[in-house]
Amino acid sequence: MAFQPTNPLFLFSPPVEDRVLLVLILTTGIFFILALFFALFTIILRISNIRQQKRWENLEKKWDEMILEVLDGDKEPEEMRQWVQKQERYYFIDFLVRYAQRLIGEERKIIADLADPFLPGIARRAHRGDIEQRARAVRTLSILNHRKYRPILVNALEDPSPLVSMIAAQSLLREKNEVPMIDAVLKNFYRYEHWSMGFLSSMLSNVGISATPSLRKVYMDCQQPNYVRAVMAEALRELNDFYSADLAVEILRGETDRDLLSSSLRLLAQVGQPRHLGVVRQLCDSADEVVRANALHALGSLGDRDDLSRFCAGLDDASPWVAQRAVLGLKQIGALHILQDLIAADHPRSDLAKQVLAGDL
Amino acid sequence: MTVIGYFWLAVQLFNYYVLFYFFALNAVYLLTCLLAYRYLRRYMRQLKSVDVEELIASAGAPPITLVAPAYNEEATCVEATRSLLTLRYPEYEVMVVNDGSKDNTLKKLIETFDMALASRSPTSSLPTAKIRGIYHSRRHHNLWVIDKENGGKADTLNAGINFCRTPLFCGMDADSLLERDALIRIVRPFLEDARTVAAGGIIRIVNGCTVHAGMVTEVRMPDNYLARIQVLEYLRAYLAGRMGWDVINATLVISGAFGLFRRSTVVDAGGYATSRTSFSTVGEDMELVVKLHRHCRERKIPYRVTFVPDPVAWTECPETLRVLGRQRDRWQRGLIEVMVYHIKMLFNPRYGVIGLLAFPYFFFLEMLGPFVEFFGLISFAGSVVSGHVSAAYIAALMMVSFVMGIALSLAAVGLEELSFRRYPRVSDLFRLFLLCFSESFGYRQIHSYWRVRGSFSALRRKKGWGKMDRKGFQIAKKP
Repeated sequence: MAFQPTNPLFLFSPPVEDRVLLVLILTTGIFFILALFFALFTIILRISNIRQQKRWENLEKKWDEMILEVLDGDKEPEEMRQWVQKQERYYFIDFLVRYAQRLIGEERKIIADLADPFLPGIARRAHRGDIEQRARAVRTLSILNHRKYRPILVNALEDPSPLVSMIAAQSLLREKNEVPMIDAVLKNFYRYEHWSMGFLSSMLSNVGISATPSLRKVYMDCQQPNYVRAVMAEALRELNDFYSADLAVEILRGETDRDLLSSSLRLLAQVGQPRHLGVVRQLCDSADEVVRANALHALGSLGDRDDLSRFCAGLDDASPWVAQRAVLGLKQIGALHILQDLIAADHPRSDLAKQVLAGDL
Repeated sequence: MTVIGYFWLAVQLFNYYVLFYFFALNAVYLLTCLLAYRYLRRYMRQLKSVDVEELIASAGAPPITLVAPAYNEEATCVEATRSLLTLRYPEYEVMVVNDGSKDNTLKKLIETFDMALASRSPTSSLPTAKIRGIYHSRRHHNLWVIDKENGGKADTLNAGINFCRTPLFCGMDADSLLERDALIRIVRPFLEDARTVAAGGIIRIVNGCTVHAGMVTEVRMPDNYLARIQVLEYLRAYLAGRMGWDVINATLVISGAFGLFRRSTVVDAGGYATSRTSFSTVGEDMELVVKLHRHCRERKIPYRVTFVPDPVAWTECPETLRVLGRQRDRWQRGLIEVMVYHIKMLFNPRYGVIGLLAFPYFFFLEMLGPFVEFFGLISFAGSVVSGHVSAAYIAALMMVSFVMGIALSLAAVGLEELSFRRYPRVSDLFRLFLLCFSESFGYRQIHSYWRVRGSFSALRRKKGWGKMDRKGFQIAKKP
């Protein structure tokens, strides 16, 4: 029944309302069709996903059998490659990467040969793809043919994504004693600020002793971020580089950054000599508790009974970390009687002393 | 014209506004759905070609501190903490911050994980309630518990940030279960783009799923109807909503249940909002993200806030109308508090796409939406009863609303099927389909009512979270 307005100012007068009604009915129809489409789309997706999963499983099973024949020499690599369709090539390369990681020597070389014709396509992806694709491409090239694609890996160090750059860096440092490569990596090292110091220093120290000249150079470079220089100190410490002790002293005298000072003190604690004690003793009075704690740690390694008063002052430090280092230092220099007195005197740090004497810390 | 005439004119204008609001809202939903579809299709292709987990593991990853605030969480805190300790990530610490719980949360944690008092230096000094003690687990070197006086969730998170030593921290709920590879997946934007300051993951409903050793081992739809509806709601909100907004770099919300942040930027921006830092809000998660946008844009710091759809945090959702109502009331209050506090950003070109698109969307469609929906219903009903609008018109409007709602919900289910397919049973898929139809009857209306109630609570400046009853996770039976 037609609607009759009771007021002449009524906005929904019949023609307008009819039009609104028409729009509403049309919208309902459109959305009904959309709803049907979405429902069908979902069901078709479910079916196609199940089928595709089965297809990949079968394919991988087939490749698994073939690759064993290739590794045994019963089948030529070319014969296997013929089975790989164009749309399957990236999947196949991933499959080979998984295999290559488990193999060494001649067998790994066979896998690399098998992958070789596909690698130029992967190399193109190292420049062009999405971030993950670039990262994956760099990793694939480094695993399957590191030497041939080294220029691409070096270029990837400059990739806008730190992830790609890091994967390239790791690949380039994997080969021991590659000094020119470590220089290329160190040039971009400032980009890895998000990674943990321990991870970065281990990555560098894994290169071995040949890396130390380059590490020392960056360590002393004032233009580098302090974080990078601190990582260098940690890597040099892991490599037990005695030549860097004098450099650490120089840094301890001239720098103020907490991380850099702490890492340098840890380095000095490991590779320093009694002649370096002056600067360490000075830093025991630093205003920064982290620096004080690390200085006492270094003093524990390098110091002697002349430093008893410094350790005793550390026991009364407001920071529990400084006190802990002081107690450990006293144990290191053999002043066990002071620790025993501490326990007997019911000092606020007597629990700490008990733990240290018992070897719990 | 008489007063009554003017009244009905106002009602009719309001009816038009409701109609406009309704189309605008659904147009935005549809648009974000389409953007999300495009993005997810590409993203899934990428994921298929890349084993992200292996990639990040091989590239090393920055250390992360998980900051899990706990307030009266004795039912779930042990299971949740256990789950955090089994994550697959190279270097991380778990920091449970007990916000002066009145139940046995602290006692349970101390007993279960063999915690002892320890010292730990703060790395920042965001103002918080008093710290009562710091505990370190003798059994798990990376587990810490900070016990503090009650100060609210934001205050608790700030306390955690103060004791966090890593460049990144993950803000979460103590009762959330992170998937084993969640950290590896959520850290990706930080490795890919050095400008990233915050990333949010997807939250899924754990009700109905089986949990074993702190991990979700079997994903199933919950038996409880309200929980099932929330599964659909979360799919719609995350896969269709947040994903779509992220495509245009306009992520304005990262759930408090799971988000990864760059510590230094959060500290520079002043941490989570509390009465000690700026103002107290129950929407502290959204406030932090809005504040990060403001902080970086005002200082011209290049930055990125993003949403990643594959790292999952599982959370227990309310199963009764009473508790769910409280939760939605709180969400609405939080939204209003944040919108009002940061109103300077509204249509302000200085804040780019955030000020011109995302903020107005949340302000007009999400914040004012419940009023429009609720009073729209009353206004339409009044118009029909008084004979000012035909019943056919109202019926058509209801029909459009119903079909649009179904279409958008089905689109969200389609996006789930396109991407992660976490509900592998065909029966679960059909249950989701059924929910797309049934949620329009009753649930949507009561949901609008809760949000209106929340708006009035915000106007009354009501504070507090409201009690959340937890029943704990459904633990897998031993074979």
